[in-house]
Amino acid sequence: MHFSKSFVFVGMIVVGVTLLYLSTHKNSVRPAPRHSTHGSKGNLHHRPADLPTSSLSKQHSEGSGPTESIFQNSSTMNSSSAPVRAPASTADGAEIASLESMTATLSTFSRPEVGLSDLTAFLSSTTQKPLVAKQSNPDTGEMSIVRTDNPLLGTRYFHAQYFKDESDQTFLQHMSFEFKPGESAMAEAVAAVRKAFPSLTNPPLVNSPSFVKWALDEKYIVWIKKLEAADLRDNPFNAYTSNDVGTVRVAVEAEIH
Amino acid sequence: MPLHFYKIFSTMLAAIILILGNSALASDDVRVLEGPLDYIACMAGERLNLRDETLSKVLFTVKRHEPAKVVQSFGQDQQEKTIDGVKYVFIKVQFPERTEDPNIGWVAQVYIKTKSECGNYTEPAPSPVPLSEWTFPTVKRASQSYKTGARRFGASRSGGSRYHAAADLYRVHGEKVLSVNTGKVIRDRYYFYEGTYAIEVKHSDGKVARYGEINGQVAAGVGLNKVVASGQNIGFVGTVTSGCCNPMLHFELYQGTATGALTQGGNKFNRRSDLIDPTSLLTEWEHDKFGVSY
Repeated sequence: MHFSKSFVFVGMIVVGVTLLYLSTHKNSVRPAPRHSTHGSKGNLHHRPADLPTSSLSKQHSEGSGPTESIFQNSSTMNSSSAPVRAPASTADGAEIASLESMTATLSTFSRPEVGLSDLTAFLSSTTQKPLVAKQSNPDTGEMSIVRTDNPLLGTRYFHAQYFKDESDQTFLQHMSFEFKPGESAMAEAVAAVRKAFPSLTNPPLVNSPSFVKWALDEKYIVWIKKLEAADLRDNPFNAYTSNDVGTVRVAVEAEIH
Repeated sequence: MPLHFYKIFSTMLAAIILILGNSALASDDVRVLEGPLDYIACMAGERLNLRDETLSKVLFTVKRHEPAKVVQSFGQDQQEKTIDGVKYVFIKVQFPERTEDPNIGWVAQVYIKTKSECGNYTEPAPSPVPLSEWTFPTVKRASQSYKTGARRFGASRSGGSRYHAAADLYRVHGEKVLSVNTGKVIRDRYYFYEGTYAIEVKHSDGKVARYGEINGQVAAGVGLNKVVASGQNIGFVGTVTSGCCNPMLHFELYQGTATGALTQGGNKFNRRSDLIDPTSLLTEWEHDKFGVSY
């Protein structure tokens, strides 16, 4: 087996992120993983203990037709309900650990040596349940969007976009996640980015109370934005309500403008 | 100390194995979809109930194939409920086209799928359309010249290490962006730059235009693989979150002779090799539409 230097380098980077994750999450409250109807092995592996296998098999398949009561005009139900996912912890330590883990993820997986499959493998290993939506056309090629179904506590809406260039090489164009709103959320996100990107020794290109941006190199930027009401409107991927004002988004992006 | 070292070494080894060779594990744990990430209500019947937090009250019903967005709320996003002996997992979903307040509620997860996963959904195939008249892509003239300053194609960026790949047409936030000719949407809105989006259209003469720095609002009748007419509203002027610049349409044009992503390395524009300077065409279209041009 041939181990190139870059391969070992990639491995070491991921080891670092993994160690960070393990060290910061050993005492944190983890949300119960979600399960979905997609795939089987992974879902069964992550299935909460209070949901027996047989109940999954009772869920409707597309062709089996629905029961009456879940659809319109259901009036009577003999039902019981219970949360599958634990409520969010208010423990600041756990949420900060998640924030640091996700900024480290942005730092590690925005390096050119690290690819899409490395990212999804890492997200799987940290039980974030990644999904990849691939769409391609004959003209502008393939775009892969990576999202997660089970974000770390205090974070959400992880989103990465990868494209293929003229030589069929995949590259990252955008990677971001959101951090829970709070009085100090912006400052905590800025601190986490400084920690995860040690090369950020220069002053930020933009430094305002609600937006901070650095150039990582000639091709990429990293920014942190405290989202205002206008930022929450018409997002094609994420759902918001007015309660989400103040959410902080952290992004690494190709310098495209 | 030796035990500590052993733990670190074991973790490192596990991570390296994961990265270097365990693609089978990754493929089992990663859900891969072919097609866009467009969620819809997908069921055999016509209507599906959207419930409140308690799952006992129906807020409203949604139609089959109605667009949906799955909510992640930092908190509890799933519940389960047994209905007529069947246990369902309910997830929090927003139906963005609904005017009801709230338009977020709980729906059985099994009935929320992407278009490509929904067996009874078929996207109508677009029919080819002939080339029409070219037109300027904003409803009024740009408020400043797109031939000068940082707005012009080829303007210096990043201290001269790269060049601007577009003409920036300064306008008003939220104003309509228009298709420059007939064409087909080949890539619907995706994250472009600092909180703005882009849409890609292949026009009927083969040119590809990227309408960048638009906001996320969907224009009526516009979507992936949809045919658009010359002058049709295909998006809305956006503003980057840094506040660096006026609201604008960042307009890029490609000859259509190359394939692959429009953004890439290999030249100082960081763009595909068939990128063209749109300035002279914009001048022509501007003059035709407004009677004057910069």
